[in-house]
Amino acid sequence: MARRMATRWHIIAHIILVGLGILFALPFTWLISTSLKVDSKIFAENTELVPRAPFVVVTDEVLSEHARVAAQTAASPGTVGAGLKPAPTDREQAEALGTGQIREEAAPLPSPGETVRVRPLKQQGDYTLVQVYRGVRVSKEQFWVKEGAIQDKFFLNWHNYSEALKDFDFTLYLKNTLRICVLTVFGTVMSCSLVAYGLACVKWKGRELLFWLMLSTMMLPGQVTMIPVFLTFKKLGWIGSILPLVVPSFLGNAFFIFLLRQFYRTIPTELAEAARIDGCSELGIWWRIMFPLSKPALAVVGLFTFIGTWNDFLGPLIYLIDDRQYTLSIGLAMFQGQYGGFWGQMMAVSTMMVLPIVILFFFTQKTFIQGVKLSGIKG
Amino acid sequence: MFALAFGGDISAVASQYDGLALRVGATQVIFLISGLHSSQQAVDYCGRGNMKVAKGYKRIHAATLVTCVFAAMLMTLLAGCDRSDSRDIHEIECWYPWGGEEAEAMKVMATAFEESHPGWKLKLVYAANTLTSSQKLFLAIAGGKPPDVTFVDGQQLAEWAARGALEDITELVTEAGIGESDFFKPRWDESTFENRVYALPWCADPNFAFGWNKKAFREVGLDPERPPRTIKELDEYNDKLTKVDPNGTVTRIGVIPWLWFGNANSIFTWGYVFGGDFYDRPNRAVTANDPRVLASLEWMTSYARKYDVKKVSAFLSSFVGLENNPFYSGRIAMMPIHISTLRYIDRYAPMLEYGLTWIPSPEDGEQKSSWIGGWSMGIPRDVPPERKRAAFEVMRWWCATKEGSQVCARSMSLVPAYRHSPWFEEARKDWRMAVFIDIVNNSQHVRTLMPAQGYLMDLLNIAVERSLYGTQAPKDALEEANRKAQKRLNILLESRDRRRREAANES
Amino acid sequence: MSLKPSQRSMIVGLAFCSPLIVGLAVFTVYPVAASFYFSLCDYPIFDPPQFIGLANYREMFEDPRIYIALYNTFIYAILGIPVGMVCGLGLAMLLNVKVKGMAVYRTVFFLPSVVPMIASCVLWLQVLNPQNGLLNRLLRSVGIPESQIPGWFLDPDWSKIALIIMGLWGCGGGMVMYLAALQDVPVELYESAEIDGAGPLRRFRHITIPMISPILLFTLVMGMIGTLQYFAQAYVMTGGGPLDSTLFYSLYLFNVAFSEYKLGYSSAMAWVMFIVILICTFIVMRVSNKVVYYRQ
Repeated sequence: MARRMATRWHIIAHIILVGLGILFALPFTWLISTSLKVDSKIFAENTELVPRAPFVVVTDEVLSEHARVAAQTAASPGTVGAGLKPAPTDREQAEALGTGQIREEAAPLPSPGETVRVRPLKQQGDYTLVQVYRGVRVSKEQFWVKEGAIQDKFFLNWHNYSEALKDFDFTLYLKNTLRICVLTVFGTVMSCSLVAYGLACVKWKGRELLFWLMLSTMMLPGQVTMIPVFLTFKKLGWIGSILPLVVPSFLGNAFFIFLLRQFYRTIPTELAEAARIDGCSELGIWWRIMFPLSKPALAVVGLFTFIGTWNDFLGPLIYLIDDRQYTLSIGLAMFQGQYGGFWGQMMAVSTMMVLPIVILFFFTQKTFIQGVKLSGIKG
Repeated sequence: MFALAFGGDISAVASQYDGLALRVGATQVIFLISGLHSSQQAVDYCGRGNMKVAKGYKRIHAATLVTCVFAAMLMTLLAGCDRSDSRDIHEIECWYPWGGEEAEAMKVMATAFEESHPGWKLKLVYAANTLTSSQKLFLAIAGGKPPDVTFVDGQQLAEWAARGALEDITELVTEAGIGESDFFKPRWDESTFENRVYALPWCADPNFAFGWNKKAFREVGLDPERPPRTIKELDEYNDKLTKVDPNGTVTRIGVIPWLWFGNANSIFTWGYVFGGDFYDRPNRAVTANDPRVLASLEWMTSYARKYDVKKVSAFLSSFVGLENNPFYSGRIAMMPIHISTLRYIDRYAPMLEYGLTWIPSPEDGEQKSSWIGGWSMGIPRDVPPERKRAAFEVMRWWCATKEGSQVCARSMSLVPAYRHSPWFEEARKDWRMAVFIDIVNNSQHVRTLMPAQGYLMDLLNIAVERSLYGTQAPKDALEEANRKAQKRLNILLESRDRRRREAANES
Repeated sequence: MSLKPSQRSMIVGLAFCSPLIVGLAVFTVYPVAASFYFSLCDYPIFDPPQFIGLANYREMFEDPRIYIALYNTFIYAILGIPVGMVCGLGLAMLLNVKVKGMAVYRTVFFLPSVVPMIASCVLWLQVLNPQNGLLNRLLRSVGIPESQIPGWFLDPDWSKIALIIMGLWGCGGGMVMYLAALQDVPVELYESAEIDGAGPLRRFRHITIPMISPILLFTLVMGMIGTLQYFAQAYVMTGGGPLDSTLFYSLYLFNVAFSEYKLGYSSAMAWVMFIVILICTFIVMRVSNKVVYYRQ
């Protein structure tokens, strides 16, 4: 009976989890899907989650229709799309804007039986002039098709990734980011856990005062201390190095110290007392008892520090003055131009940036539930 | 008293860290060694489950370890000091604010410069201008660690010059034989403040061309080759082009007068179109309450009365930028077109049939009206004098030589501010560029030439918003903006003069 | 030489806290003191600060936008913090159930907290677009008349709600902390309560809540500090508009500092905010001493 109850509960739990999960997965799913879309679909009016691109199935019929329309347009010059000048490719277009020269050659055609990805160029009546993609590049092939012949088909535009990686030294940025992250996580976990122990488990005069001092440092917004902090680092000669980003983490972080202090205060004192009677030093108690007991909390601290450092934009931007030192988050921002950006590539880089964290979380989430079970000890 | 304690050079306080750190350092290392020794014992006690009561000093020593490790680590790091600049004079550091295509273009520009200047090295550093305004640049200048040369938004120049954030380059400019006639006048005026030159204009953005969607025109029976010429015509065309669903949803709109690159840019555009002006430079008077400016705002507001401002504004989300422009999809039939939009049309909407022309203006307004935006280059304060000349050479080459300006304009697809650039001739072959070149040649304005321009933008933004949402009458909104901007300008100039006097007295 | 126990624990405590003390001394004291000094100055960033006494604080009293910003911030805090905490805790309870595939679920619920802000902002602008956004299309399809369809980020009455909805997606951060805290609740307590006949709600109310109350307190205090300093999303999504309806205190402070070049005034704003947060935190901590259950 109880077992059946439990199964029923599990089914209900699954249903709720899946339902909510879909909602919560939306931003990430959207991110991935956008990163695989072709440019013209990224900001289409009715956004779809499935990446699609326009395709045409080339048949003899399509080609003969094209020949008819092409003859017509050539016969009446001056109308839109007159003649069959091949529309310039992206790069050629850019060059043309600079030099004002547009190439004038007759456009080749795709062969019948093919299904080709296209990009619409011009419209006249019911007909659209489309340009053919060969691989990821637009080719010079183009032809007129009836509007209905263009269909949206499932298409993953991996080009966004390859193109993004071309301009974006992912491994370099990754290395820079990881170096800062690892140092920061190590520093934060060690220093915060030590300080939290001092604030929660050692009774001494003045700890309340220190706690409030620490807490109050979080209440002043960073914008107004930014200049003096910058001056401090400048006087230390640290501008242009990673030291301003790393060293402070070895000196405690108010947020995490507070968090760990709260955790340490939920751990029964009996354990520490017993160890003390056994002659264990305070440092020993911290390292041998509190540190392992607070693993879930330390994992939270480590994870949050990692994510925070990973995504930190302003810190590296301000203190580093060499593109070769920049981190992933700055690299990501660099896809944003003055008037717009390469959104597909930006989303591709975003995805690449998020994935390591997702994987990290997936494999460490167990730590949050593997707290040492304090059976037998009651508060 | 407090002022005395902290006043003067704030960095002087910070400099004391160095000495202190080194003195403490040595003692800590000794502690560190003793701490290590006893902590090992302490851990052993605990590990073996020894019942012996540890003596007090052991605990203390264990704890000392902790102090020492951290203190020593810190002291070693503190041992650094503010190294002096040892870079070669021909190694110039230039900060630029854009990513994306502009960042690519920057690399092209840098290479071209290095090729024409053998032995020189140009170090480009990205200093974002997006989410954080330009905090990196702010801090670097305020903190006295500036780059050799940087890009500055034209409308910031007066303020930065008045506040002494940029070096006066008048002598260098005169020496190089560069002057007013070399640039589009409004952009040159923007680079000067009280008859001194603080920057060189780099690009000249013609704001804006009036774009219309020919397909939409044809659909409602308008001549696709004849755009509206007056505001009255614009209104008529708008009524014809706007389509409303039976349930009240607007599915296409003719024109949305406040979506011209933000509220503030919209009112600058229409204010000039209606024949108004925002600043009287000789008298240092803000004139945002100019009756012609007011007329333009009232006209803008009339559209907010006709349509639900909350809904139609959604046609153009301010953040996403130019890629999902509703002009491409035909949802807005008439739009301002910025020169940078062209390449997005080519990429995202190659099918678009559109025309470009002058913005329509009322009969008593300014005909063929427009204003010029764009970026300039300047040398930040505190760049050492010996580096200034080299930094200027980079600016000069990019902004005021035929080769340099051509490279910049080609790679960025922007109009150079340098009038003699050979780019103009080649670009004219593209009909769209020809329109933009005509516009920039005829343009009389930049936004304003006053030091509180940034603040005025904020104020106008609010004033327009209030008028559109109907919470304040256009007249009151503009009066309020004007009053506040004037007050801020006066304070700014007074404090600047006071500081100057004090500096003169000291020397 | 022997030390009194109180002295000894003092030294031990100081030693453990020494990283923090060094950190405060080196990287915090001077900036904090300097910012207080700035608040008494005219400081236009590029020029050195000039002492002007309490003028900045006086100016604040006459600045109507300060009151608007305070109002917006408090509304956001009062609505956002409790809703966020309830959602985070609810998720954590749900994810603490031992069912198959939990690793995947946990990861999924945590996802929105790690998606880069720029990506999530674009997404939300699309979802909440008043014209053709997903949500409004949904509302129209269930027959809500056009006049009552919210304008979200473009509607002063809805813009704060839109930001709160957006913020809820990030409750995975709180969830992780609650999840970690839930692990410290002894299973025996639940078992003995079940034997005594306590239902799930009573067990939640009388065991779970008290046992994780230290962490609840932590998230509450951090929520307060975080909310009063909230600005990044508003800066990107609305820039404070429309009609100052999303002009949060920190956003205004940021604008004053970096677009109006009034670092002195913004420092004064920061110190007023500091006092407000300090008082709120103090009250919460005092009240919590009676409510929060520590096992020490």
